[in-house]
Amino acid sequence: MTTDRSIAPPINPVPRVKLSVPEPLFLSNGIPVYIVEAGALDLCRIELLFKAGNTAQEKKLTASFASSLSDSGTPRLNAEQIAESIDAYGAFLENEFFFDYASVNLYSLTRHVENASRILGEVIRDASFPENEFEVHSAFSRQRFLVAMKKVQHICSRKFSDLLFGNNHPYSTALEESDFDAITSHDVRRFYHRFYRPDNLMIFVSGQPGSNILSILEKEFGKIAWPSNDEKPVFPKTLIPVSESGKFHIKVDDALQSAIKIGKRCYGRKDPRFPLLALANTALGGYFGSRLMANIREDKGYTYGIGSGIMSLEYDAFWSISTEVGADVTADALKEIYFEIRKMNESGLSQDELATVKNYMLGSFLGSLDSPFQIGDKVRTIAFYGLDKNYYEYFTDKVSSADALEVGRVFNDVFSEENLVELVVGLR
Amino acid sequence: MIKFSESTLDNGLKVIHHRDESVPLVCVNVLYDVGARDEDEDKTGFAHLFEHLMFGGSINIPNYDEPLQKVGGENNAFTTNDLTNYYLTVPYPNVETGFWLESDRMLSLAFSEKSLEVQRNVVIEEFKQRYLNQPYGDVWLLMRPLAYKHHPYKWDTIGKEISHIENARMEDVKDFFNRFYNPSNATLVIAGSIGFEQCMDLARKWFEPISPGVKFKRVLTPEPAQTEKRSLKVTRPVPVSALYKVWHMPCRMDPDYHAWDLLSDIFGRGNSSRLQVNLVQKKKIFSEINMSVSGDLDPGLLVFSGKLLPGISPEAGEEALEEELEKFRKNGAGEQELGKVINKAESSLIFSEISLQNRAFNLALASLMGNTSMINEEAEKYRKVKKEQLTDIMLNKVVDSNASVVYYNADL
Repeated sequence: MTTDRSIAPPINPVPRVKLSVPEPLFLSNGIPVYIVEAGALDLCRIELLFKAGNTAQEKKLTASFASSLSDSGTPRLNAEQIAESIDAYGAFLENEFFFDYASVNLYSLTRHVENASRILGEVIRDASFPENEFEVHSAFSRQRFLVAMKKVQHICSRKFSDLLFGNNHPYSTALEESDFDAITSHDVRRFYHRFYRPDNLMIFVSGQPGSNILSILEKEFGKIAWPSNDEKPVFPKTLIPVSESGKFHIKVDDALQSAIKIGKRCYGRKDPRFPLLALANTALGGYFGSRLMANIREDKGYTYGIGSGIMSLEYDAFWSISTEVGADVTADALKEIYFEIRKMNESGLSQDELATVKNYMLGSFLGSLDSPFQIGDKVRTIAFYGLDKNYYEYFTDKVSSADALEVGRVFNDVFSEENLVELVVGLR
Repeated sequence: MIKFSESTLDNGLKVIHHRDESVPLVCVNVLYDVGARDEDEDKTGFAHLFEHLMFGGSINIPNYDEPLQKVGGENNAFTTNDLTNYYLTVPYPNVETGFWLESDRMLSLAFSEKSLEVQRNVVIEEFKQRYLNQPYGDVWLLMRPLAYKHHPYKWDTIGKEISHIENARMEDVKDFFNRFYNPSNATLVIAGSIGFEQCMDLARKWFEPISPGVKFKRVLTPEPAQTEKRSLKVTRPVPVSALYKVWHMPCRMDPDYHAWDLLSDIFGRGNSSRLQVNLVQKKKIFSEINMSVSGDLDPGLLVFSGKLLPGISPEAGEEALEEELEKFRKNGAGEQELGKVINKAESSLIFSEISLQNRAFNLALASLMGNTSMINEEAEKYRKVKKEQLTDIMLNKVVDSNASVVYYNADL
C-alpha cells in the first residue's frame, strides 16, 4: 500500500495541561517561598526576587548596577572568592534584571544546594559593593552601552520606550553617556540597603531541590539577622506616562539596514481581554506564519525577520512591531506594515486562520512548560504580579474559545492607526 | 544518563528514539551531514541558503509551516560549518504530521523559483543584519581566511561575500539537494511522549519508501600545520578597540578535545577565571574577555576575544594576555583549579539535558560523530583530564607560531 502524501494526517486537539501553582510557604520573618517540584534531573534553581527594578530607582542605572554588583563582594569575600566558591560546587549565579524586579538566581545540582545556598545567603545579606568592582563594572557597562548604540536596532528600542513613556518614566530605557558619570557607588549602596531586604523579597524554587530545602532557606534568609535599615522601600501608586504619538526618524547615513518600531501603550494581563489581545497579536506578527512575516519576509524578502509582541508590566503595557529592513526598501516595508494593520482592522481573521493561530498558541504553551525552570517562570509571573492562581488556564480557555468577532473588536480597539508611534532609525 | 534506542531503516536512514513523557510533546529532529565545509569555494553560503529553501514547500506539500502550525507545532533549523539541523516539536496526538512534513521534504522539494528569489533576499538581509550592519560583526569574515589557508573553514556559514548568494541558481539548488539530502546522509531523532513501537511504525511508513540515495563521501584537504604567527590590523568605526586571537586545536572527536575545553574554562569562563580576575578585575586592561573552543568536527580553533579599555591598544592587550599564558606554561594549573573547571563542566552537561530539544540534537550529533553512546560518556572524559596534559598543550600548541590575531582598532 502506498501512502498518499498529498493528504495531511488528521488534526487532533492539542492536549491541555493544568499548571499547578503551589501555595506559598513562609519563612519565620514572613518571606514567601514558592516551591515548584518538577523534572527528572537532580538539579534546581533558587530565585531570590527583590522588588528592585527600574520602578524602584530615583536615578538612572542605580537599580541595574545594584543588580549586577549584588554578588560582587562582602566584608569577608571578594568577587573572585565568591565566584571561586560557587564554581567549586559546579553551581552558577546569575543576576536577572527587569523593569519591575531584580533577581539573583542560583543554579545548582541537588547534592550541592545546601553548600551553595550558604554562599548565596552571605553574598546577598552582606553585599558591600567594593569600590574596585564598582569601577570595573562601570567601565564595562559604559563600553557595552557605547557599542550597543552603534546598532540601529538598539538605538531604536531605547528611543521608542522613551517616546511611549517619557524620559522620567522608569519604563523608558533611554540613556546618555553622562548617566554613567553621574552614578556613584554610594547611590548603589543606598539603593541596595533600601530594597534588598527581607520584606521586599520573594523566593522561587524550581526543579528537585531536595526535602530539606525549606530549612536551608529558613537558615539563610529567615531566622538569620539581615542588616537593619529604617529607610523602607516605597513605590508609586501609579505612574503617569508622557506619551508622544506620530512619526519619528533618527537618521543614520551609512546604515545598511533601518530599524523600525511601530506601536503604542495597551492593556496588560489583568484586563480580561488580554488573551484575545495576545491572539490578535500572534495573528499579526507573533509567529512564523503571521501576516507580517508572510508578507514582509516570505513574500517580499525585505527583512530577515519581523515580529510583534506585547509587554505587560506592573504599571503599564505596550504593544509593538519590530524589524530591521534593507535601508533601500524602508519606505516599501513601512507601506506593507500599515497595509497589514489596515487589512486586519477591516476584514479580521478567517475561521481557518483563527483555528491555526489557536492551535499554534496552545501548542506553544505546552512547549513553554518543557523545563522546571520555565514552569517556575510562570509561577513567578502569577505570584509577583498578583494574578489569579488559574490565570494560565483562563488564558488558554479564552484563546481556545475565542471567536473571530471578539478578536476583531480587540483589534480595532488596540491596533487602530490612531495614536500609533512610528520610529525609524537609519534611512527612510 | 540519557536512554535511547537506535535502528536503521532499509534505506539506510538512522533512527534514534528517546522517550520522555514529562510534557505531552514530541520532538522530531533531522540532521543532515552537510555544512558550509562542503561548499564550492566560488559558491559559499549555499548550505545555509539551502536551509532556508527547505521551508519553501516540498513535492507534495506546498507550504511547510502552515500545516505544522495548524496542529500546534513549532519548528526551526540551523546551519554550521559542519552540519544542517532541522527540528520541530508537536503535541503528541499530532506527531504524524511531523513525520509527514519531514519525510516529504527529504523525498523532494518543490523547487519554487519564487521561494529561491525571496530567500536570496532574506539571506542577504541576514548577512547585513548580523555581519555588516553590526559593530565587530565582520570579525569572523576576517579571522577565518587568516587562520585557514586550505580547509573550507576559511569561510563563514553565511558565505564569503553577498555576490555568492545573489548568484545562486535553481540548478545549483537541485544539485545540492541530490547530493546531500537523502536518507543515507541523514539521522532522524524522535524524542518525547512517544513509545518505541509507534515511533518505528511511523518512521517506516513515512521515511522508508524514500530511495536511499548515495552516501556523500567527504574528501577535504586538511589544513597544513601552521609555522608562523599571522596577523591582521583593521580600523573600524567602533567605539572600543578589540583583540581576537586564535590557535589551531584538534577536532571534537580527538582524545585531547576535553583538555582543550577545560583550558578555555580555566582562562575565560566565569568571574573566577584567570583572565577575568587578572586582566579585567586587577590590571584593568580589558572591559570584557572570553575564551572558548569552536568544537568543530574537523580540527578547530581555541578562541580568545576581548574588548580593551580606553587608551589601551590591541597590541598591549595581547602582551598582557601572553603574560598570563606564559605563567601557565611555567607553573601549570592548580589541583583545585582543575577540579573546579571539571565540576563546572560536569554540571553544565547535566543542566544542558533539561531541554528535550537539546537532548534530541545531542543524540543526533553523537551519532554523526560515530557513536551515539558517547552522549553519556562526556563527564567521564572531563574527569580524566590531567594537569600534565594541559601544560603539554600550552607549551606545544598554544604558541604564537600556531596563532592568528586580528587587531581591531576603534576609529569613530
